[in-house]
Amino acid sequence: MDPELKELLMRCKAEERSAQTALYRRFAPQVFATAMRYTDSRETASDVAQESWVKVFKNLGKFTEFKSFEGWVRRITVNTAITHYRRNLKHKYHSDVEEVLITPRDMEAAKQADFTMAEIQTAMAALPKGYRTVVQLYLVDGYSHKEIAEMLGVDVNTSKSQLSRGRKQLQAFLGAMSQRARSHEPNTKE
Amino acid sequence: MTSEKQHSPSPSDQAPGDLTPLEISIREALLSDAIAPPAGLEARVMRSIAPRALMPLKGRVMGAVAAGVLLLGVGFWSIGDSQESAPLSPPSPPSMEHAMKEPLPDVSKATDTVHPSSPTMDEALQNEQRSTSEAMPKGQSMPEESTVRLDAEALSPLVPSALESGGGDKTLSTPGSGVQTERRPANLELKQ
Repeated sequence: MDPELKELLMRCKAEERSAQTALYRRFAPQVFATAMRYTDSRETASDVAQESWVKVFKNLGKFTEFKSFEGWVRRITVNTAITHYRRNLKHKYHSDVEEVLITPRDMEAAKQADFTMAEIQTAMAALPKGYRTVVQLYLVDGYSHKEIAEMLGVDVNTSKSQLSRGRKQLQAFLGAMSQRARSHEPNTKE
Repeated sequence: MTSEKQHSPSPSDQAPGDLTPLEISIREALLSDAIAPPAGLEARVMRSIAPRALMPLKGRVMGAVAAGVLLLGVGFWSIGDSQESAPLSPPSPPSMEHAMKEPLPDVSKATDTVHPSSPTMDEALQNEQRSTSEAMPKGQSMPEESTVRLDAEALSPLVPSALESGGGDKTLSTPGSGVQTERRPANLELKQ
């Protein structure tokens, strides 16, 4: 671990105010980006980030230097975001699924293209929320299907099927975007 | 769907093994993403984690002060109320204790049965005045009624019901109406 971070964490454990501010400023952009990935608005992401930071400082005594601090903070943020998601879940898990037309050409185009961050975020945002959550948890944050099933309160097979469909849709969206960018025709998705 | 990681210490640091190159690039891009949080978030977080040891203490002190003020207000109100409704205190603490033990008399019956002009009331009034003046040393005047009533007020928190039993109907005890002196013998008669 970075010695500077190690010292900062020790000062934070002693509840030194300036160290807490420094730690927040160092990791706040990553925490907020993680919160944004799992929420629909900046306001909700702010709530999730705030709650996550409170948990980080409250549980800092349990953190050991053998782990990655960034990973530990991200895990707390993801768990907080999922808790928030489940708390505000007003629909059944499958109800927001919208089938999209996936063509082999889109899939192939997605494999060959490079995407900007904005394009990736747009494609992710286009996924139905249920798919998006599972895709994020599995592909990005590395949770297993068992963990995802526990976190979301669904069956393991549900998690697997959601991931499979979400992956295909994501690839299709990206492929379609890539083709549009190449042909300079914004409305030729299908 | 391979690579199910069981009991992994930090699964978020490891990518699943079945990711396509596209998904790996997406993962790396998203994990390295950083978005500046809203300006007010830092203040909110710092407020949330601020030690709050003093806050409950301050709240408790404020609560105790508020409760004290409320009790004082209620106390003054009840004293004022009893001053209006209770014309006289019982002559001594033992009699007050006696009054506490006694069941409350039926006021309506008392007001019905006792008439101010009845000879029993007059006799009782004279007897009490006589006994009070005999108890006083010679040369000293009898304390005014207001002083006696203040003594009664000092004792009133102990036996508010006993004091009120002497009054009963508040409408009869309007100060200056002269009804107070008329109701006093009624109480005495009841005790007798």
